[in-house]
Amino acid sequence: MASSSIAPHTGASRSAWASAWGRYLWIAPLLLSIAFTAMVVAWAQDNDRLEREASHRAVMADTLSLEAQLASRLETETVKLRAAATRLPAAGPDANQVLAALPEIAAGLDRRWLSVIWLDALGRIVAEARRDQRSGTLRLPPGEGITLHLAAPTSDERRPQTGQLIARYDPADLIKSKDFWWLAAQYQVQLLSGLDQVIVSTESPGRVAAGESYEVPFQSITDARLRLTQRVRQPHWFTTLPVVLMAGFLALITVATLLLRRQMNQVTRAEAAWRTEAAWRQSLEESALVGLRARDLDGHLLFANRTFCEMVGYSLEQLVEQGATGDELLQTSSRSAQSRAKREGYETRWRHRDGRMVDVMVFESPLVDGAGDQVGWMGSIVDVTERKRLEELERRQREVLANHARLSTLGEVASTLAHELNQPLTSIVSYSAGIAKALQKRPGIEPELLAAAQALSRHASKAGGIVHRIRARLARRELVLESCDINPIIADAVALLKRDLKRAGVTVSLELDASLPLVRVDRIGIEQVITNLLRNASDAMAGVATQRQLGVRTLLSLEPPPGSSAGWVTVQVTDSGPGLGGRDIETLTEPFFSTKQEGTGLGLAICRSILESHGGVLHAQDVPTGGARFGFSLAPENTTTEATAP
Amino acid sequence: MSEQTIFLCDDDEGVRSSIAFLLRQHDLRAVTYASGPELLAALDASSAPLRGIFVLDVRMEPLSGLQVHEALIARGLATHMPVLFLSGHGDIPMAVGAMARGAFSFVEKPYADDALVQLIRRALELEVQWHGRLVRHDALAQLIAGLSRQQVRLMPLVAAGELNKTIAWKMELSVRTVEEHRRKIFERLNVHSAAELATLLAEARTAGIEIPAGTDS
Repeated sequence: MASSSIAPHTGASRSAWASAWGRYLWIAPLLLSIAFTAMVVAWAQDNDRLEREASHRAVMADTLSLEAQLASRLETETVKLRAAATRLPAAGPDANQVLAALPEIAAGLDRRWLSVIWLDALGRIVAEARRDQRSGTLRLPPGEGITLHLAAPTSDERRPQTGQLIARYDPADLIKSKDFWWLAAQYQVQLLSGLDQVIVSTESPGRVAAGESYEVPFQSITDARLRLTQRVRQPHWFTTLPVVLMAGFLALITVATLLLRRQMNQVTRAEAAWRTEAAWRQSLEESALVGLRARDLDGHLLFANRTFCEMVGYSLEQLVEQGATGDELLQTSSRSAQSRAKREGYETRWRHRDGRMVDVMVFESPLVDGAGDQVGWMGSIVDVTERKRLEELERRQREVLANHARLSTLGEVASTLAHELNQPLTSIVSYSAGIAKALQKRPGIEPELLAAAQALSRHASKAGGIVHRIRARLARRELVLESCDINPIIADAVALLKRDLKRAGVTVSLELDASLPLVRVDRIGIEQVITNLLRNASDAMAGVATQRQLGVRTLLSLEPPPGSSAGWVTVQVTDSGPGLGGRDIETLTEPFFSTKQEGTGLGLAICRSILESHGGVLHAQDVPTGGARFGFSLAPENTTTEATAP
Repeated sequence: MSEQTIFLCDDDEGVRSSIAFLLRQHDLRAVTYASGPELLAALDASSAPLRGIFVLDVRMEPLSGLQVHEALIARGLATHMPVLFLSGHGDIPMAVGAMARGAFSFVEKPYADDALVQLIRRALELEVQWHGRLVRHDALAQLIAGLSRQQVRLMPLVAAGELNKTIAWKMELSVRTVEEHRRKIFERLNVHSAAELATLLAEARTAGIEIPAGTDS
C-alpha cells in the first residue's frame, strides 16, 4: 500500500524537476551555436591579425627591396654618366653632334635618359643631346610629371672641374619598368617628395589603393620617399566568408531554436495537461470505494487501486509479482470470457491475506487500448461481505424467531393440553385414592375393588406423568433474562418485518420514548411477542382498502394493571383495521381462537404466556378512531427485582 | 387435631370436590371454595379463631393463588396457618416464588396417589407446632405484661447475666430491691436461671413481643 502511494509521488517530483529543466532545454542549441560562433569569430579575428602582420611585413620587405633595386639602378646610371663625362672631348662648335655621337650617351638615351646636357664650368650649356633627336628610337610621350636628373662632373686629372654632364630621366619610367611588374601588380608604387607630393605613381591618379602601405626614404634622391601601398585591401575579418557563413548559421539556428521552443512549449503544455489528468485519475482511483483492477487477456494483473489492495490485503507490487492472486483470478477470467460484453457482475469469494474470506461482486468490462483493440479486462469490485453478513444475520434471526415461534406454538399446545388434562386427571387421582382409602377402612369388602381403585389412581398418575413429560419436552425454552432497553428490541422487530409490511402496503410509524427505564426480559421472547403483534396488526388490515397505518409506541404508563407505583413500560401496537369486534382479551388469548383462516389461534395465547412468565400483562382495546390497539406492559427492572426478592 | 380445617380453594369443581372426597376418606375436615374472594369473605366472616391449613390452586380467576396468599399474609393468617399450593402446568416458577414468601410447599397436578395427603398431613403437623408456639407466645406476652415496668427494664440485664450489684449500680437501686425483682421475675415467668430467661426473651423477641433493650437508661 505504502509503496504504491510513494512511487507516483517520487515520480511526480522527478518529473517536476525534469519539466523545469525541460522548460529551458530549447535554448541549449542556441547557446551552443553562439559559443561555436564566438569561437569561429575569435579564430577569424586572430587569423586576420596574423595575416595583417604578415602582409605588413611583406610590404615592408618589398618596399625595402624595391628601394634597394631602384637605388642600385640609379647608381648604375650615375656610373655610366660619369664614365661618359670622363670621355667627353673638348668643347667644339658642333659639340651637340659630338655629344650625341658619344656611344655612352647614345646608349643612355636609348635606355632611359631623356636628355643629356653638357654644362661648362660656369654653368653654361655646352651641348645638349635629346632622345627625341635620335632617329630610330621610339618616340615616347613626354613625361607629364616631374623629371629628375643625374649629374656627373666632367672633370679629369688635367682639368679639374670643367663642367657637368646632366642626364634627365623620367622617374615614372624608373618605377614602371617592366622589371618590377610583379610589384606593380601587387602594389601601388609612389615616389613622394619631401612635401608629400606624389612625384610619380604607378597608378593613375584618382584610383586609390586602400591596402597596407609602407614608406622608406629614397636615398638616391634627396628628400624623396618611396611608398608601397597594397593594391588590394585585405578584407575586414567580419567580411570573411567563414564569419558571414557563421552569421547565417546563427540566424538559422535562432529561427530553429524559436521553432523548437514553440514546439517544446506545446509539448510541455501537453505534458502538464497529461500529468494533471493522470494525477486526477490516480486520485480518482485511490479515492474510489470500489476496487479497480486491470488484467491482460491472460489474466495477469496490470493494475489495481488502493481499495482493491485493501480488499485482498496485498500491496500492488505483491499482486503484480505474484502474477495476480492465482487461481481465483484465473477462474474469474474464464468466467468473464464467457460473460463477454455483459455488464452484470458475478459474485465470488476471495481469500484475504489474513485468511478470512471476502465476498465480492465483480463487474468486468473490456480494457481497450489506444488503437481500439482489447488488451484485457477492467474490473470494478465491490466488497459485499458486510452486506452478506447482515443478510445472513437477518436470515438467522428470522430462523431463530421462526423456530422459537414453532416451539412456542407446540409448547402452547402441550401446555394447553396439559392444563386441560391435568384437571380431570387430578380429579381421577383424588377420587380413586379416596375410594381406595375408603375401601381400606372397611376390610372384607371385595379386595379386588381396592386393587382396582389403586390401579385407577396409578394409571391416572401415569397419564399425568406422560402429559407432564411431553409438556416438559416441548416446554418453552428457559427464559434468558437480561436488562434491556425495550426500544431497540422493537426497532429490530420492525426492521425484521420491514419487507413483509411494505409488501402488505402498511406504513409503520415509530414513536419510542427514549427515557424509558430498563426491563428485565428474555429478549427473544419479547421480540417474538412484538413480531406477533405486528403480524396480527398487518393481517388485520389486509382487508382494509384505506390507508394501512401501523403505529408502534412505547411509553411509561400507570394505567393497565394497577398497583405499580413506578409505572409500567408499555408497548402499544395500533392498527387501522376493523377493531376487536367486541371481543375481550380473555377471548382473544383463548387457545385455538382465531379470526384468521389459517391461524392456529395460538399466537396471542403464546404472547400472553410469554408476558405472564415475565410478570407482564397483555392488553387489547378498540381505538376510538377505528382499529385495534394491542399492547403489553412490563414492570421496570428495579421494581421486578424488589418483587421477586424474599 | 379434630379442630383443624383444610381450606381448599380451586376454581375447578372436579378437582375441588375430588380432593374434598379424598380428604374425607382420610378423616380430614375440608372446606372448599370456588374462588379467592369467596374464601377471603368466609374467613373475614368467621369470628372464631381459625385452625388449619390453606390449599390454594395457583391459577385461578379473578384472584390467583399468589394474590390470595398475599391477602392471607395481609390478614396475619399465614403466620400460623401453612399455605400449600396446587400448581398446574407452567406455574412452578410462581409456586417457587410463593414459597420464597413463606408458603409451606406446593404439589404439582396431577400428583401421585397419596403425595397430596402426605403433604397435607405434614402441613397440619406444622400447624400444630405453629399454633402451640402462638399459644405460648400469647401466654408469654401476658406474663410479661403482668410484670411491673421496672421489672421489665431490669429483665434484660438479668438475662444478660449481670450481677445484682452491677444491676443495682446501673439502675441506681439497692441490691436488695434488685434481688427481690429477680426473684419475682423468675417466679412469674417460671424460669430457674438467667440462661432460661435469656432463651425466653429471645423467643419473645422473635414472636414480636416488645421488650425494652437492656443496655439503655
